[in-house]
Amino acid sequence: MSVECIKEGAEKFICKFDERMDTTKCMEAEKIITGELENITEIIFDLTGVEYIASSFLRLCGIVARKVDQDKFCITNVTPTVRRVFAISGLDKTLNLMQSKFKNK
Amino acid sequence: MTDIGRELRVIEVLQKAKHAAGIYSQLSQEETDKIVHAVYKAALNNRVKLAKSAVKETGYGNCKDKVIKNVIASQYVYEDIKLKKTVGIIEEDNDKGILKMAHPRGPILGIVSRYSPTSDAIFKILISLKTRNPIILIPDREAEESLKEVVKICYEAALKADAPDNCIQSFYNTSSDEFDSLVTKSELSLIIGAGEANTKNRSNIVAPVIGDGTSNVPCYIADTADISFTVKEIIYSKTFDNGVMQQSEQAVIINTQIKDKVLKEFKHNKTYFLDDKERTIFEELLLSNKKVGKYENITGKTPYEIGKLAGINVPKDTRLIMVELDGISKDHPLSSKILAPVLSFCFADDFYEALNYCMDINFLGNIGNTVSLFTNNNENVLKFASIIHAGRILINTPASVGAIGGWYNHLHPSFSYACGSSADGNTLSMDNVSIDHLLHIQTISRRRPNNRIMNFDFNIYNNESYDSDYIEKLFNLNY
Repeated sequence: MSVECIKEGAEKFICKFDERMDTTKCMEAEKIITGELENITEIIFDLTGVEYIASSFLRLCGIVARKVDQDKFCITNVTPTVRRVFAISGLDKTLNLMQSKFKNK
Repeated sequence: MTDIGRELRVIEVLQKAKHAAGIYSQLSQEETDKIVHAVYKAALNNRVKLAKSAVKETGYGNCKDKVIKNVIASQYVYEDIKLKKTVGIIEEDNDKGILKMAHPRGPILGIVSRYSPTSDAIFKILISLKTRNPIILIPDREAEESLKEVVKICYEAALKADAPDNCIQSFYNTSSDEFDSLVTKSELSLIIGAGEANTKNRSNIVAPVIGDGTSNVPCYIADTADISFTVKEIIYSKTFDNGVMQQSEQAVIINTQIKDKVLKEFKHNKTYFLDDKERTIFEELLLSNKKVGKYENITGKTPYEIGKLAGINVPKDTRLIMVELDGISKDHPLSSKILAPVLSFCFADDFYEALNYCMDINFLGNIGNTVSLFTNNNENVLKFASIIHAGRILINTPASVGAIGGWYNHLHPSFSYACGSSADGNTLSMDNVSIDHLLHIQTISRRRPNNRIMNFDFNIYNNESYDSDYIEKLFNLNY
């Protein structure tokens, strides 16, 4: 499974991803996440352990960012490799990347 | 399209390129090389189709030689770069404790030549992909369809090999405003193949520019040249792709001692010498259609076609038109760049006179590009090189295909020729542009103390009474 999504309360969604988010897994994740977007107002992408992201992952981030308010979408626990991808692509300035103290209960 | 629409187009293409750069930065050497291999194969497989479409669209050159150019751009470039490391550690010196690590630069803008629309594009794509840099290609207006074909073929191959989306993009119907906007964006890491017309007077370009000077290539035939060999090489060079190569010889300077033999040899090789009357007619033809310093009406045409345009009876099987110079200056059109199988010539009594003529011709173009010399006197070679300002000094080599590199010599095969500092501006290098120019090289340096400095008493420096001679003596004591 490319992504595991946990609902917290009625409108908050936490998504944990596979270590290697290639194009196929991204497309699968996109289907799952976009299917839920109508019902949520807050979403967290927890990238713990993710070491590779394909172009489609950036596209998925873009889709989610357009759907929810900026302060309601954050990306946490970004590995240095993936942080570098966001930095080179310029998306570290537009997306909400944070080191999270969030722990999955 | 509105101004806002145009600006959005620029922003969109750069945004996509930046995203691609981010994704590409993750790829290993193996993954990168897989992409490069796939693209090279696709380009080489389509070498004839692309050559035909380039000639059909632009009307410049000939198909046979454009196929060769596509081969050079794909196969020879690939062979040159395939084993090179461009990811991770590329150099290691344990004694000095230095590791060098290669990183991509970021999005690159490649401006594609109208005279080599497919080969130039293939070359730029391959070196960009090898170095994990997304590329944005801009064609000349006359060669947009050719570029579209190249981009389609290469991009499809790249994606099949798991390249990031938008690693290759292209920008068509570019207005002057869009171009101005694009080249001034800080998202670009490098501009290749800019050309004088594109970067002159654009002082707000942020990205470094490398290549591509226009040129006016002189060729000196010295008294020690092997005449028969020399003439054959020059004719081949100047007629390659109907003379559209910027690096082809524009004028030959012949040592007076051998002039009769040289001219006789040219005459034996299907050349047509214009007499005085024909020269005047031909000059008028050139001047009647001068556009941005280029003689568009004859560019890339055969000698027979040029003769027809001028009303001169040039035999159909003529390979090269020869015309004697009566001066070298902007007022003498025959001494300026003519991208056609037309070769001007003049005579020089000695080496220094020849050198002066070469400099005069070189200065008419954008200095720094290429100069050619046919000689067997090595001393002259070094004197020549020390005075002439050109990135490529080609010895006993046809200039057009020699400058490309990899075939007649061991220069990196390339379709972009950096020209260094010149009166028209500065470019990053004087080399044939290759993958080395597209990488950031990071240095990791371990502690390896320089004992000479470590053991030197720094208090000596603070003693004002010690002069530099004394300090130098102390510093070098026992070394």
